[in-house]
Amino acid sequence: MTWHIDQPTMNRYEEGGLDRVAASSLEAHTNQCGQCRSLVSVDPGIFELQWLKIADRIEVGRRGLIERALERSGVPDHIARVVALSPALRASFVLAVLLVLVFAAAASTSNPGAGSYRIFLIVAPLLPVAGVAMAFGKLVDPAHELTLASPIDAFRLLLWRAAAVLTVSLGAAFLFWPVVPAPSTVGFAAWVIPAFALTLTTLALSSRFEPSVGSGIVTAGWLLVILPALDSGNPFGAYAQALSLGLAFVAGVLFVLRRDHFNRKGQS
Amino acid sequence: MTDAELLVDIAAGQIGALRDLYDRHAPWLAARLRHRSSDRSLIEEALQDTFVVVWRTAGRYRGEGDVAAWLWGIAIRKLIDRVRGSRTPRLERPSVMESAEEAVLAGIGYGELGKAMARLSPELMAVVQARILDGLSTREAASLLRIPTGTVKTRLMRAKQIMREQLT
Repeated sequence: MTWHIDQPTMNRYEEGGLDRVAASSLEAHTNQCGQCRSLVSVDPGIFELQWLKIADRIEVGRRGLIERALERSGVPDHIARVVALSPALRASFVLAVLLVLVFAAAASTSNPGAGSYRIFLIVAPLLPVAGVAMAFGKLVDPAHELTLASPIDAFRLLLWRAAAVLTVSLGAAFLFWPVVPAPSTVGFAAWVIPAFALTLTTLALSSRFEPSVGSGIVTAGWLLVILPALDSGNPFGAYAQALSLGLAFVAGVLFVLRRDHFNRKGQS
Repeated sequence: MTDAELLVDIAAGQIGALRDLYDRHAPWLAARLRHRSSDRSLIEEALQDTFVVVWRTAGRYRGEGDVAAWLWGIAIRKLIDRVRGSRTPRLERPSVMESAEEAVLAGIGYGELGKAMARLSPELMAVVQARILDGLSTREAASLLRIPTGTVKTRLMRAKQIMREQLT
């Protein structure tokens, strides 16, 4: 390096007083010269504040294993943050899901041949319903205020969180499914389709009620329908599946049609 | 400690090393970003993004070219991301190789090429700066300058033509 930038020139550069050619020349030089880079002045206040913000983001980012996984799979980082914060992805929820599944699977296998596998079919679709109640509930979500205040479309956020809930709860149920001694005529669709139907219904109801209330209604409705049906015929047969699919479709359409209600709820 | 050694420590998770790198490079990066955008808050965010990215990707620095140039490659792209809006595309690997134009500029300062460039209109100069000096792609330059990609191409062609005429 045969030449260096003097302090007055650097000052003029910082003030924007150099013409573009001179500025470009200076910049090209500073790419290679640490001595000249250090001539740039520093506002200590802003400098420290900026650092605190960076350190903050790094510290927060460190904790989020799920968040990083989401970001790596292409989810925008601000969405990844609120999804990762959703209670449904917390260890406590995952643990609760696993516990329920352990009991359901145990009950299902306790008396093979007597149709006890149906206990699993009744319980599994309720897991994502409980998850949705947690994903957006005022009472259970520590980030509730934060979520309402964030400039993210509440509908889209609900979708993301619902997807997270479905992934966790259905994924866990899949783990236990091979243990359940169901007859070969009963595939996993027997609980997956009702699970989708019930989850979408809960989401549709959430446009009107608190998610906890909506999921309560759905759970009660499911039990009222399914328990009496157990005695009369096969409530998990093809006919019932078609009905579930229909319900899922209607609820899904309703949910999308009422998307504006979610955003309005956030503003009130 | 050299910048490259700091990056090794950063890759190993030492936040103190990131602080040292920040002390060394944040001031000039900020000054240079201020020449690319007038929006102070965008610049602050882009600078923060830059060091967060460095924290995550320090291990990817392969030791080619100056760390300063590598940092600038990240910073200018983070600024573009911020200018584009909330949707952040994946970071393209910044080019750290020193361009021939850059070498010429750094060497001659106010020489013949400088005079030729001084003849360019501000619009053309902005494109030359983005495409040649900052090493951005046509699309990146278009986002930063908020003009269509076709305009970037035609302006760059015209700028080169003008400069060629000046130099011959």
